[in-house]
Parts: sequence; C-alpha cells; structure tokens
Amino acid sequence: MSFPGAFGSMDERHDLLVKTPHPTTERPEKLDDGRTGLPGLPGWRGVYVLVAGSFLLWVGLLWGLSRLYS
Amino acid sequence: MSPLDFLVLLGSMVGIAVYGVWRTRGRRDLSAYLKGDQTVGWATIGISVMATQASAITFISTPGQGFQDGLGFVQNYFGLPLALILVAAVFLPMYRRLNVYTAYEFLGRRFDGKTRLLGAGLFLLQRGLAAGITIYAPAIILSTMLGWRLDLTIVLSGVLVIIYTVVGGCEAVNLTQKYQMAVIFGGMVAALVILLSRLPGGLDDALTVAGGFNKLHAVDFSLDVKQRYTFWSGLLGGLFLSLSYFGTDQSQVQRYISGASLRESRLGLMFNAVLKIPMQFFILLLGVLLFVYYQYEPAPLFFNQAGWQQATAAEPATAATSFEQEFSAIQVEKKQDIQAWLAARHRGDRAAEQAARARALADGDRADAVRAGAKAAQPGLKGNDADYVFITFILKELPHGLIGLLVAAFFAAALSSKAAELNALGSTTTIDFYRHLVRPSATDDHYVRATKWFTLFWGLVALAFALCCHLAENLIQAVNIVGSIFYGVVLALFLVAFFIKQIGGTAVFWAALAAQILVFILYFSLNISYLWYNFIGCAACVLFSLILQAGLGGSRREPIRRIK
Repeated sequence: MSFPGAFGSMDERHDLLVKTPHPTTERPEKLDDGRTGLPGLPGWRGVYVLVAGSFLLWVGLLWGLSRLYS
Repeated sequence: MSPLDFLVLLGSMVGIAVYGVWRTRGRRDLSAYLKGDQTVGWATIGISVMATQASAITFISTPGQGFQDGLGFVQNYFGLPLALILVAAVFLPMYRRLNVYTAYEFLGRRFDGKTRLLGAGLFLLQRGLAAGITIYAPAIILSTMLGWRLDLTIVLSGVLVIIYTVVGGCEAVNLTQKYQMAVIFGGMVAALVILLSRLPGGLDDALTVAGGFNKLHAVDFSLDVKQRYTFWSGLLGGLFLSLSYFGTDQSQVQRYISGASLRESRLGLMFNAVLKIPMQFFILLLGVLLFVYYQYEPAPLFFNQAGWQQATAAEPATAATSFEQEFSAIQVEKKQDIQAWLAARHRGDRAAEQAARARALADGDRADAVRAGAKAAQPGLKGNDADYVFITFILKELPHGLIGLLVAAFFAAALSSKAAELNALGSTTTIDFYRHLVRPSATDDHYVRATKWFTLFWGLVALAFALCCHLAENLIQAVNIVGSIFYGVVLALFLVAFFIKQIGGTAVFWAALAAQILVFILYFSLNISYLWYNFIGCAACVLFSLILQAGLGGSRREPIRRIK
C-alpha cells in the first residue's frame, strides 16, 4: 500500500532501517505478515478497504438520519 | 447512593485492580513489564486502545454534548479510521520490526540520539502536564454530584491506579482496561435501555422531537470555516490529530505494540477504526434522548444543583426562585406544545404540526434566555452545565445497584486512561532517558525497578497537580493548548522519518527546535484557535527540515544509529 508523499514502497522503508544490523533487538517475526486470518479477506488491503467502507457507510447512515428527521 | 451502590462501586473497582495486581505479580523481565507477555490478542489490544482514549470525561461530558448541541460532534471522529489505517500500515510494522519499547526509540534508530531525546522530552512535557487533569476533571464533577470531598475522591482514585500500574506494568494496564471497559459498556447500555423505556411515544416520536430541535444534524458538508463541526473539518482535522495521537503518543503506542503478533496489533487497531464512530454516535444519541426526556419531565434550571445552590446561598431566596419559577412555567408550556406537535403529526395535520413545532422552539429559546439570565446574575456559577445532565439522570432516575454500576463506569474510565498515561510516562523516562543516558547496561531487574519508581514519581506528580487544581475549565483548556503547541512538531518528526528519506538527524533536530520556537512566537503574538498550532508546527518542521537538509548537503542521508 502506498500513500501520497511516501518514498518508495513499505519494503523500501523497512530496508532503510532494518538493513543496519541490530542483533539483539530485532523481532524474529516476518517483516510484514500479509495474512489476516479473516475469512474472505486474505490480505490487509482488503481489510483497509472494508474499514474505509464501513466509515463511508456510517457517514451515509448519519446523513440519512439527519435528512429523515430534519 | 445506597449501601448497595457503594458495594457495586467498591467491588468492581477494587476487584479489578486486585485482579490486575494478582495476575501480574513477580514480573521481573523488562519486556514483560513494558510490553506485556507478548501473547495479547487483538480484542484485548483493541479494547485497551479504546479505553486509553476514552477518559471519564468522555462518558460524562459526551452525553452532555449531545444534550446541548446534538449529534454534530460525531464529525470530529471522521478522520480517525483513516488515521488508524495509516498507523496500522506504516507506523506499526516499523515499531514491531525494530522491537522498540517506546516510539521515540524509533527516532533514535532513524535519526540520532538527540532527536530521540527531543521527541521523548516533548512527550514527557506535554503528557506530564496533562497527567493531573485526567484525575481531577472527573473528580470535580463526581464529588459535586455525590457530595464527596474532592481531595478524598482524587486521592482514592489516584492511589488505586498508581498501585496496580506500578506493580503490574503494561500487562496489568491491558488486563484491567478490559474489565473496566466491560463495566463502562454494561453501565452505558443499561442507562440507554432504561432511558428508552421511559420515553413517552417511543423512539420515532423521540427522534421527531430531537430532529425538530435540530439535535440530529449529524453531517454538515458546509465549507464554512466558522462552523465548529463539519464533515471537512472532522475529516482533515481529525485525521491530523488522530495520526499524532495514535501514531506518536507513547500512551497509545505502548498499548498496540504489546500484541502477540503484527496481525493481532493490526486487528486491534482496525477494531477501533470500525467501532469508534458508532460508539461516539451512541453516546451522543444517549445525550440527545436525554434532551427529549427532559422535555416531558421537569428539568432543573441548572443540572449542577449543588453549584447553583452554592452560588445563590448569599442571595435573598426570592431572586433564585423567581428564575426557577419562570423556567418551570416555560417548561410546562413547551411540553404542551410538543404534545400538540406530535398529535398533529400522528393525524397528518401538517399545518398544525408546523405551528406547534414553531411554538415549542420559541419556548425553548425563552427557556435558554432565562437560564442565561440566571447564569449572568450568578458569576460564581462556573462550569458547563451540560456536563451534569447525565449524572443527574443516573442519580435521580436509575434504580439502586445500577447507580453504583454507572458511577463505577465513570471511575473505571478515569482509571483506565490514567493507568495508560502513567505506564507510558514511566516507560519513556526509563527507556529514553535513564537507560539511554544514565545506566546503559544494567540488568532487566534493575530497569523494571527503575520503571516502577518513575511510574510512582509521575503518579505522585499527577496527584499533587490534581490536588492543587482549582479552576477546572481553565486548566483543561490550558492543557489542551499545551498539547496543541507540542503535538505538531512531534508528528512532523515521525512523518519526516517515515516519508522523507533524504532528511537526516541534524536537519530534523534543528528544524524541530526552530518550528517549536516559531509556534511559541506565534502563540504569543497571534489570536487564532489553538488547534491551528498542530498544523503550523508540523508544516513548519517539515519545511525547515527540507531547507536545512538542502543546506547541509542535499540528499545525502546520515548513517542510521543503533540503540545500545
């Protein structure tokens, strides 16, 4: 996932920091665990889209409530 | 409050604290003390992040906000889901990959030691100043309403939170927050259900009345910058503030880096991204429904009855009662007009409905004018009266036992946010200052003991500050101003670290200092809303960094330093 103004990809940003060795402090886990473990949502991009979608749904519901009882 | 209420209050508060201490007894490992045992699941992280943000004032004042201004305040949270997506995608993987204890360690890795100390120092200054308020602000309302001594309320809640935070560390904070949130949500849902059952005419009539009084105007797409709450200010301002708070404030970072894996931490953040807006909506809706409830039931002139009686004690009794009688008479007329309005609506008489609604709105304006006149006549009456609406409803309308649960919910919220703050202050002092500058190679046991002492120190500072407070409104505003003055620069340090690879430690350090000085100068010379300083500080720091780096040697990046 890239963001406006970001330099390079997530991996590049990680590389910038983690290629310098830190023998005692690095975590053994994978750099970016791509699996979400959620049914129907294998990647994090799908989760972020779902969260953004739920935000838009709430805005729509709140707007509808405002209109219905204005 | 009855003995049953006290039993529920003390049982839930002390029980949760004792459980937290018992479950985390004997922690000697620094990582376990500062980040938990690294087995925390996404639900615990999500609840912990939510509990840290939601202080007692959230649950006392937000219904008051809904009562007074309606649902529009929910727009303030519109930037939060997007900010949490950014934190989950960019900030969190870096913190976890580098296995840092504090967010400011990351600055040390990316830039250098002096930039790390600058970030940590700004956090301690800002959060340390705010520490007393999270105890004091709810205590002043609760002690007023419950008739308890203010200093005793502050000391009891403060000592309880210090004990379990010092003894149990991060894991105790996470554990206790989970059960405290259960008490909070149990209490809030019970209050909502009882309120709904007391409303005459059902939910549709209640929403009709609320909408008629413009309390349901939840989304405003207006581009008018003078409007306090709009979709755009909430989206942009909320994004900025949430990114600062969730991405760089150690009290939040410490919650989500304690997850068993990157997946658990991310899901915990996404849990908040999905639930925060509905949660705030329902708390505000509770306030809106309280507004409707008090259209049918006799409302006091001021919900802060203790404050009103104290302010009018020296006056002749007739002066106060004349305001009260006039207010009550208008309330009776308003109730009749609202009943006529709803009756006309039910029989489909549109013209009568509009006329009755107009009369009810005019009654509301007259009631507000009487209240404003009474307040102007009593300058000693301080504070926002809306803050007292929900707790008045609880104490007067709820059954015993449930009153104790709701008061316990407010104390739980105060303790949970305070615990996270103390935990973060103690950790940052130990890791970024004591270990970095004073004792770089001591044992874990030594650092755990040091963190406990620093947590105790910050707890006592907070208690002393809370006990010395006398003017809540001014102090709360002062602490918010202090936060806004520092938050922008701290966020800029992290944004430069993540997104502008050409900038090194020396450039960003001096840029941050220059930006901070600029913010100070502007603060003392301009008359603008303090919220703007968040943006100004951030933009100035990024801009100065680019200019300084260009002067220091273009795109040459300094070597990344290691934390010892």
